[in-house]
Amino acid sequence: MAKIYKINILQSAKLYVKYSLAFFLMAILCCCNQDSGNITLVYHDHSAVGISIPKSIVSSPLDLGSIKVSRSIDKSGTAMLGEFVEEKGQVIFRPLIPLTPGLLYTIYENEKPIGEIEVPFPKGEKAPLLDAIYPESDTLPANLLKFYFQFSKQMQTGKSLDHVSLLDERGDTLNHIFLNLQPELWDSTGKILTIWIDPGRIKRDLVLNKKYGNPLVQNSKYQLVVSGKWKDRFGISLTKNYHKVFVATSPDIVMPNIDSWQIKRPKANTLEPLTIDVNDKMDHLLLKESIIVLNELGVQLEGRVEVTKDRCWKFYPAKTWQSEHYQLKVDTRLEDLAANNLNRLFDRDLTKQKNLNNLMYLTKTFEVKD
Amino acid sequence: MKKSYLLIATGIFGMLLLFAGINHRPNLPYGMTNGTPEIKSITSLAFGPTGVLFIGDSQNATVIAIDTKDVKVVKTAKAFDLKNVDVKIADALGTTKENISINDIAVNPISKQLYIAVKSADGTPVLLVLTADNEFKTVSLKDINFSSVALNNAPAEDAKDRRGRPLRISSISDLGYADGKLLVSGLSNKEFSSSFRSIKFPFTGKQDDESTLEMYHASHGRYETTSPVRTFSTTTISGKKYVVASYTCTPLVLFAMDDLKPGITAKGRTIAEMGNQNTPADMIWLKSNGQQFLVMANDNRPAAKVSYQDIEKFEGSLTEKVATTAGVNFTALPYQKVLQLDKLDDNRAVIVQRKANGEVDLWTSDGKNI
Repeated sequence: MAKIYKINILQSAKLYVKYSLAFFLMAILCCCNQDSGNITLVYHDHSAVGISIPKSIVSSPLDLGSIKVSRSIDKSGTAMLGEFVEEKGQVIFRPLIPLTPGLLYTIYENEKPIGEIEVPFPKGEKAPLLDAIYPESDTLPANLLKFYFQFSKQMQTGKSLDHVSLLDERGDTLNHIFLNLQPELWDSTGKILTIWIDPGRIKRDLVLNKKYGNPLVQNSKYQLVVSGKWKDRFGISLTKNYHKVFVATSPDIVMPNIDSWQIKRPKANTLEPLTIDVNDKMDHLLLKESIIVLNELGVQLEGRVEVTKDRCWKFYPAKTWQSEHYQLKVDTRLEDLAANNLNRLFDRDLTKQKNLNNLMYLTKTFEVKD
Repeated sequence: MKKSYLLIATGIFGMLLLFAGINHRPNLPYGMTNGTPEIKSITSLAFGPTGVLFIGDSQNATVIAIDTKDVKVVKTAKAFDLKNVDVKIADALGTTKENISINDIAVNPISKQLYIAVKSADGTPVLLVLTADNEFKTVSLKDINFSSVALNNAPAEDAKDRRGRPLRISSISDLGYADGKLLVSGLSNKEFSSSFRSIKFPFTGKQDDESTLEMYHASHGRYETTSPVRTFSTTTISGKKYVVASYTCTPLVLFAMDDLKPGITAKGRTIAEMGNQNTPADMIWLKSNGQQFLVMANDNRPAAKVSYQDIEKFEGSLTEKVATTAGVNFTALPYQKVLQLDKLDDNRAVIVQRKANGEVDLWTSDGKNI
């Protein structure tokens, strides 16, 4: 019985070795010979960045100069710019920009088509969202300078003003209200866009301002509309139109003043947020980054900042507050919604503010108690 | 004695070998190194000395100087004429015209070839050159001679703004080269501020060779703004060098280049106010009938030109109240929606224009029609 069992084990081991060898041989063959005869796409970061052309469909010996790729719809057969390389037994074409989803491409050898491939729209990619429009308030000064649009994904750029419009009370689109800046003002993440309302209409005493007044008229109601047709960089559209309704109030021609800030002090030995009402509607991004908190040793506290309603600044400390004096250090570049900062007005009246403030930071002290 | 000669000879050989080992690299022009620069975007182009092309990379807040080696002198430039240039660029890139934007154009003053900065909808930057035969070619940015300067990382105190902090540029609005200096105007996506930088070329990284300035200008002598510069050019008036700057809030302003010194607030002289939505996006100097003109392009309004003589004669600054556009006279040209503009030679301009039917054409003026 034991003998038979031993023979079985030996036979199983032989079979195991045979099948393993066969498996590895096939695996090696698969790795060496990727020439499946199909033209395939090469992807990087969810974008089709190349076309893999099997050598079996091109002439031998290979002449890379005889191959070209062109959009199938392009009847003139313009050769796309890019490079052809031999990689892992395939001919790889790398165009200068990623291939466009939804388009069909033809591969030619000596001007004769040898195959074509369509780039599919990415599967499983979520549609982009417009997460926020700043300022958040529904009443905004008539000399408002800019809007921020914060998206969940990187959007297609260069034609943003085709997708943003401002409607008046009658629902008519206001023409030429925004400044068409090229390149557009996207932040470093490529997700936040700044759009300026034409500054030439806002600056006081310029011909345009005198003739037409501010782009926004006091006490008028407006609707900012962002088109759902705006696509992200993968070609996927926003799921819907976005709207922001607001009323224009009197122009803001007063410099923000940190002496008017109302500080709600946290208690010592807690992680309560430090809350400041800045008593003015401020630029969201600048408010978020312009204030730091220092302890008595002058060391900056670590923590998280949250800004809501354009005027409420909250600091959530990483460590509990101590019973001591703290200092707020405020960057004078902080602007309100009309681009007046802590040193000067957007358009300084030289007859009133003769000397320009020249401070880098302003400070304000507060005490935390038990 | 012979032995000592032998020792000296061996020593000399040794030294030669050592220096041969250290100094094995050829001297590259303008302090450049060979390699592949990291370029995230190509938003502005300007030619410098002998085939050096300055590339403004807004996303990296960097200017890269590349040696194009495109120095074959062409004395009489062939006119460029390419209808539907956007479609043709899109064909060469394998996409549709909706997926590309032409960020800037620059004519190489030596070879007269046209360099075109293109951005695809997903943000990929591409640099193309259009030959005199209207053929697009790729300008390789791999393994090239280049040098670069970071704009947001000021090398030293003197290269910061007058309050001593680095400027924050999120977008380069224009580049220029004059008198051995690279001039850069920048925009911030957050604060409304003016930043203009003068950097000695070849780049040295030394504080004395860079200056960052805030440029103020007033409307009618009363309301002063530090508005961002949108485009600029340089000129000489009565033997003195000037920067002619166009602001996002419409005025055309003259700055003496001598005034552009670190630590000094430069005050400009407003010489004209442009009309509604007519802030030039590009400006060049051209000669026509023996006279020099500053030609300005705008993507919303007709292109316009101002006579050099009028600018030269305009001694004052705008101080009086005016009902319409004011200051030096400018002539509206019969060309609407000029998207890009550059100088082909003393008399002719290369123009990218959106026509009334929506098509985008590239054409060259004939020396009389602008």
